[in-house]
Amino acid sequence: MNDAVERLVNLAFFLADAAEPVSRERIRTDVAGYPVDQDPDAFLRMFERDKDQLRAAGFTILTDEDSRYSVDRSATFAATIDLSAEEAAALGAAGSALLADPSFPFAADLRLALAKIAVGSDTDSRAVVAASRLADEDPARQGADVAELSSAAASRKHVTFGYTNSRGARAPHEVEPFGLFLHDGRWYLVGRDTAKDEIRTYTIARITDLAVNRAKPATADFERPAGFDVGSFVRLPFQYGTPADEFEATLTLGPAIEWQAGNLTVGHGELAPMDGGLAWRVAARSVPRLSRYVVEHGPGVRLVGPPEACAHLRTGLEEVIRSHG
Amino acid sequence: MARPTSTESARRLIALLGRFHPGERISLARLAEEVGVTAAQLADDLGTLSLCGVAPYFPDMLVDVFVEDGMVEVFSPLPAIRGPIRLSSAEAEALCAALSAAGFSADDPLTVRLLDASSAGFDARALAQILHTASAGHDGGVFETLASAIATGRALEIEYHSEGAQAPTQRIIEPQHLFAERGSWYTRAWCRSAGALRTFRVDRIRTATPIGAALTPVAPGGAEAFSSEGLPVARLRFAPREEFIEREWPGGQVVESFPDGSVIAEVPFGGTAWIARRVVARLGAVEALEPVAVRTAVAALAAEELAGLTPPATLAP
Repeated sequence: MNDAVERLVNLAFFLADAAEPVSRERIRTDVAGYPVDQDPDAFLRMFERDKDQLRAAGFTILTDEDSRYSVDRSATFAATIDLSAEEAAALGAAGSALLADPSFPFAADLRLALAKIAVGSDTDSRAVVAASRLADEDPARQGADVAELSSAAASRKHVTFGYTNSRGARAPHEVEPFGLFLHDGRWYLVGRDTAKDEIRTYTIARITDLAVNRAKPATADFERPAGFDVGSFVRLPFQYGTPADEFEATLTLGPAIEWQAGNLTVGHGELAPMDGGLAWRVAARSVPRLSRYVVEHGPGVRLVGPPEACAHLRTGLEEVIRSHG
Repeated sequence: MARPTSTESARRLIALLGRFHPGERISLARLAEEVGVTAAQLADDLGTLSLCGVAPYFPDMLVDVFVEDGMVEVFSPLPAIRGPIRLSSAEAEALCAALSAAGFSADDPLTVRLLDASSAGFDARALAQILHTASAGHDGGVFETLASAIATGRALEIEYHSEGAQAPTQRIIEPQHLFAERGSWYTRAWCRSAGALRTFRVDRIRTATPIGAALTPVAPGGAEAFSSEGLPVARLRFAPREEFIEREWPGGQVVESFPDGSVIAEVPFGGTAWIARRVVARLGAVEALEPVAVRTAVAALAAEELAGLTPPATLAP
C-alpha cells in the first residue's frame, strides 16, 4: 500500500515542480513508483487513476494539445485565510459537531477540508463542546442514503428504491434525483418519478433498498430542470396536501415577532408592512394544520383569513375551553 | 479502526502538506485527530512521506519530515509546495453543507471568504440549488459569538425570545455547550438570571454581546440532546383522531390505551407555557388531565387566543 501512496505523492510533487508541461513518458520515467517494466496500457490505466485521485485531493491538472500535463498553480494552492477568533471558533464548533453526527453525510470530506484550512490549529476553538443530530430517525442509515443520493444527484444517475408512503403502502420507485434537503430533523429527496412522470418529495427515512444505476458512470441519465431550486420544496407544515385544496391564507405577525419573520415564513408567501406588524399572505393546503401552526407559533401570530379557516380555529379553541373548563 | 486505503492515506497526506513549515513543531496526536486516524497510523503515513520527493530523489530532494517525542517537524521546505492545497469539489461541498447547517448561507461573508481563499472557484450558490442543509434560520453572527464565548470562557448578555413569551427579555448567560437537534441549534448555558443551567434555542437569541468572563465552572457532561430527567410530567389524553407521535412530544410515552382508539400519554415538560401551547394547538384533540396548573394554563391560553381572533382593521392592500 505504501508504494501506491508514495507514487501518488511523488506525482503530486513532480507535477507541482515541473517548470513546463510534461509528457506521460517523462512522468513514467521520472516519477518513482511506476514500474519500469509495466505494460504501456497498464501504465496508462494506472496514470489515469492517479490523475483522478490527485484531482479528488484538490489538484487542478491541465492537459495541453500535445497531451502534456501541468498543474495550474493558482487553482491548486490556496490563498491565506485570515479567520477572526470568532469565525474560527464557529467553524470549529460546527465542524466538530457534524464530524461526529452519523446523519451528516459528508464527514470524510469535511474532515479533510478543515485540515486543509487548519481550523483550530492555533486557536482554542476545538475546545468548544458541540454535538449534532441533524436527523433523529435512524441517523446512520439516513446519512448513508443521503451520501449515495447526493452523489447520484451530482452525477445525474437514476436511483431505485422501495418507499413506504404516509398511508403505509410500499411500492418500488425509479427516480431521477434532483436535490436533497434537510428539514425539521429529516432528510428529503426531490426527484422525478419516472413511472408517474411527476416531481415528488420523498422522506428518506421511508426509503429502503436504495440502488444507484452504475451503468455508464460517466454518462448522465437525465437533465435537471432549468432553474431547479430544492429550497423551494421546503414547505411549511400547512402547505402539504393536494394542489386542488390550495387556498390563500392571510396571517399577521405582531411587532414583537417581526424579527422572526424569516424563520416563520421560510421564504414562502408575501410579507407587507401593516399598522403594528406585518401582513403575510401565503398559500396553504390544510386548514387544520394552518390552525395548529398559528397557535404553536404564537403569541403574535394571528389568522385573518380566509373566513372558513378562522371559523375552524374558533371552533377548535371553543372546544379546548369546554374540555378544560 | 480500519486500516486506511492508499487513496485515503494519500489524500490525508496531501491535505496536510500545507501545514508543514521548517522550524515548526506540530503535535502528532493533534494532527491525527484532525484527519481522523490514530497517531500510529499517521506516523506510518509520515514515514512514507519522508521517502517522497522529486527526481532524481537525492536525499536533499526528499521530504525531511521527522516524528519524535510525539511531535512532527520538517527541516526544509517541501518540494514545489507553495501552500495548502485547495479544496477539491467534494471537500468544498462538504464545507458548504456544514456552514449552511450552522447558519452560514452561500452568500454569508464567511462562506464567501473561505471559498475564495481555499477552493478552485467552487459555486456555493449552485450547490444550494440542489442541497439544502440550513437548519432553523439563526443569525450566523450569534452562532459565532456563542462559539467564541465557549472557547474563551466569556459571559454574554442576550436578548432572548422564549417560546410562548410576548416579548424578548434580557438575560446574562455563560454558554457551555452547543448542539444541533432536529433542525435547530441550541446552547446549554448557565443563566445568571435564573441561577441555573438552561437550554436556549439559538434562533430565538436576537442579540448576543460579550460582557466579561464566565464565573461558573462548566457542568460535567458533554453537549447532548435534551434530557427529560427531573422534569415534571403532564398526563395528556389523545382523542382517536390525534395520533401520539413521540417526536412531537419529546420524551413522552403512551401509558394507557382505550378500545375507542384514544390513549393517555405522559409527557415531560420544561415550562407550562410550552406544553399548554402545544395542547391548545391540537384544538380539542388533546386534553391536559394533570397537573392542574397545565390544565388551567391550557384553558387560559385558549381563551386568550380566541379573544385575539378578531381580524385587524388595517391590513395593507
